[in-house]
Amino acid sequence: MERAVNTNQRETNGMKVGFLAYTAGTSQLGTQLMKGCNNLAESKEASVSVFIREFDKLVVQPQFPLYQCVHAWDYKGVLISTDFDTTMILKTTYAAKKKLHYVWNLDWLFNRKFMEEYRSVYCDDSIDLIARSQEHYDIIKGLWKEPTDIIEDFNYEDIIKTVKKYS
Amino acid sequence: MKIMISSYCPRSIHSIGQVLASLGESVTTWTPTTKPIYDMFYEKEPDVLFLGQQDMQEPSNYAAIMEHKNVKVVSCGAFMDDVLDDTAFINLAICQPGIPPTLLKNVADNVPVEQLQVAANLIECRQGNYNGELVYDVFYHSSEPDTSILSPRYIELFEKFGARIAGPSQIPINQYMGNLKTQTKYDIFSSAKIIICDNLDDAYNALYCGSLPLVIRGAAKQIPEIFDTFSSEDQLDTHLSKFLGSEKARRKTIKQKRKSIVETETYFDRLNEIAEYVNPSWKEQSTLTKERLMA
Repeated sequence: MERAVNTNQRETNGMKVGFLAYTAGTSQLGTQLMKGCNNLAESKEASVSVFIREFDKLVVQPQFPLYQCVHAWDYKGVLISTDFDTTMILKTTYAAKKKLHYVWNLDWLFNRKFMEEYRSVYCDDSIDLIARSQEHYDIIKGLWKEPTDIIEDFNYEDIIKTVKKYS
Repeated sequence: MKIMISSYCPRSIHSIGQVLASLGESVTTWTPTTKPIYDMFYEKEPDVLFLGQQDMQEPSNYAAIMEHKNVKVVSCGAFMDDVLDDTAFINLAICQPGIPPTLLKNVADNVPVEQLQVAANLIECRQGNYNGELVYDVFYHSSEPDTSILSPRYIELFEKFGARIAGPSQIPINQYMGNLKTQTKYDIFSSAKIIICDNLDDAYNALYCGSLPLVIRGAAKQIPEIFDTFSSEDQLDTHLSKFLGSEKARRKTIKQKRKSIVETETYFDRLNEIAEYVNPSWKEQSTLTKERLMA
């Protein structure tokens, strides 16, 4: 077991990246996430894991491990949440090397929550934001805080660049 | 005194209720849909009862009040035809701004009528604190939005001036940031530079807290001259350019306008207007309490 882990670390340059998502199944986010992570796993640039809240029928077969969200608690790599609720989980994790929030959707336009709740997530100093497009980048920068990166549709090359900064 | 305010009363009456509570009176909100008026009288035995427009349409309310003639009744609405012959149990009729008081006087000659203007809610405003993170250039508190504010040109202006929008009415514009807790609302009113208001309560409170309100023309039937208003995109553009362009002009305008609000346009002052019909001793108490709160 130990040997396998070591091999994995050598093969992936020691970079570890985990994603927190509501589901990895039948949603645009789930499908894009699985495709992006499969590309990432194939590239062997980083060891990738996905932590999900709800198990759903998988559209794309994963080439990497899928876990329940609770296992993200002591994950030691770069951890990236993908929506408001998973960012709330991200805030409770303690071992992540770096916490990032990939703002896939503009949650505040669709959910009935208090501005204070959104501020506590989007303006949290310990969590850097990643925008999905230049347009999202401008909106997020105007309302909350400036995102550190733009990654379009879980593009694995951009993910590697971002993760490298924190590894 | 025990004061009962029907949940059908307008917002201004509930603000008066907050003032009365600050004077040490026992103030309770009564929800007629969940508690019949007879039960309310039996349990609470109120000395003063504020009724809203919908309460005035309910015949059982008249019957119950006639059995409790010692209660002082303040009505906020028009009378039913059935009771026009006997309105003696009503101590005061309150008329909303924009509705001519003569409308009520014509139907009930024996009832005094007062027009109660909206004012600043000093008690709620005092919750607000300056917060450096909430110093927004333009903030729109969406509570009763006019649909015209959703036009592409308005949205363009919101983007141009980096406006932020929050409030109970969810507006499908990228700048909408969610609902607001009362504390946050008054923190923003105390920190932001310009507040776009779609109702007069917000306008008074924003000015009291120290920001500059711009009121949409359709926000009320009568908008006091003290407020800058706009009814088109170009007018809003002009106002925003003017006040964001010169911090000195903005501060000077706020200082001038805020003075009269603080002196005479709070719900403590509004209570003085109705006190003589219900309980004259409230007048002195409210003046003292206002001075104490503002000290």
